[in-house]
Amino acid sequence: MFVLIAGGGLTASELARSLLAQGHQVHVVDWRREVLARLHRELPTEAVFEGSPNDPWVLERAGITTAQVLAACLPSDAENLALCFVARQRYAVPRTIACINDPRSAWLFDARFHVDVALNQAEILASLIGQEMSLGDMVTLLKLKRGRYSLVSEPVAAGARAVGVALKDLALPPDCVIAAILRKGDLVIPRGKTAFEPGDEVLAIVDAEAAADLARLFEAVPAAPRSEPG
Amino acid sequence: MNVVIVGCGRMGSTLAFKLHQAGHAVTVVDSNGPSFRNLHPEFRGRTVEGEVLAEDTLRRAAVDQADGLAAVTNSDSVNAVVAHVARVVFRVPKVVVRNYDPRWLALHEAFGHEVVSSTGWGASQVEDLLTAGGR
Repeated sequence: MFVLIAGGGLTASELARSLLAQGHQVHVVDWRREVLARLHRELPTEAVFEGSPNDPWVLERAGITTAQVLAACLPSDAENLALCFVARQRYAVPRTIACINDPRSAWLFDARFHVDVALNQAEILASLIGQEMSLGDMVTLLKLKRGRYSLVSEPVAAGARAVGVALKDLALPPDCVIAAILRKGDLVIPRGKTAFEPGDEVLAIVDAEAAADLARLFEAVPAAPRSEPG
Repeated sequence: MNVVIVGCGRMGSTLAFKLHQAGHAVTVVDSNGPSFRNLHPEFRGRTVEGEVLAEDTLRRAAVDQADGLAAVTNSDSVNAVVAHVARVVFRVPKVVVRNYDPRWLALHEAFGHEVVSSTGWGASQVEDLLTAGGR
């Protein structure tokens, strides 16, 4: 795939490196001298284009007419919006992705400006930090459906409610599926009879609201641990 | 006429006072409060301070009730985006955009905006005066 990235900030250059490693064609456009110097250290010369991403001539030279994806990662929300609009309107770029710098302008990042996907980094980080604080050892690996569901990983603590309990007997929250258990480095496909052991790493897909209920099953019970022989 | 002016630099403040003198109800929006000092002391319109791309700012400026909006900040991208929001979201009947950097002109055209290019227009005026008379 051919991806054109406007703006060579740290997020954008990380994206460029990972796309290049996956074998995609990537062009990055930036106008700032110090950013260009860093891009040239990190990326192959043919991937770096110098000039203003507001300038149609620069965009055309960087290949916007044949780009399959435009990623607008500029430090100004107005520029990201304008660029996505122009990319679709003037150059018929099939897919546009834009970063949101200021959450106050997030309401504009949609079809009205031809933005297909908007990434609100402040919101993602804030919600991740909020979850990390409330859900103890549970780690969110992946967000699905704009954050409505998550793939999470949760270690099973010694003395947790779930220890020794078979999956079929575990009172799981309704919108939750145990996808896999990592036990001593091996993958265990969970069946109804599979019982949980301390030190297991549970991978689950869970509804945002049920995450806390799920976490409670695998955390150490604070007072008077209840043992349930399986 | 209810007119909203976004950007209170030299152009925005001059335009605001002209429209005010002509009897229009003028609201000036700028993200930077001290910019309102550019306004003429006898200007009697409304001023709204806030991020110009924030929904709350545009609602406080009553863009939804405006008959006209002029986007005249010194950022072409901000002008283009605010003007598009005024047309598409708030259905403002008359919207005019200031083009600041001539390289941006084509992009304003992609939005279909009505554009005033102050730099380009100024340059042509100077050119006409310099080359007039054939000396």
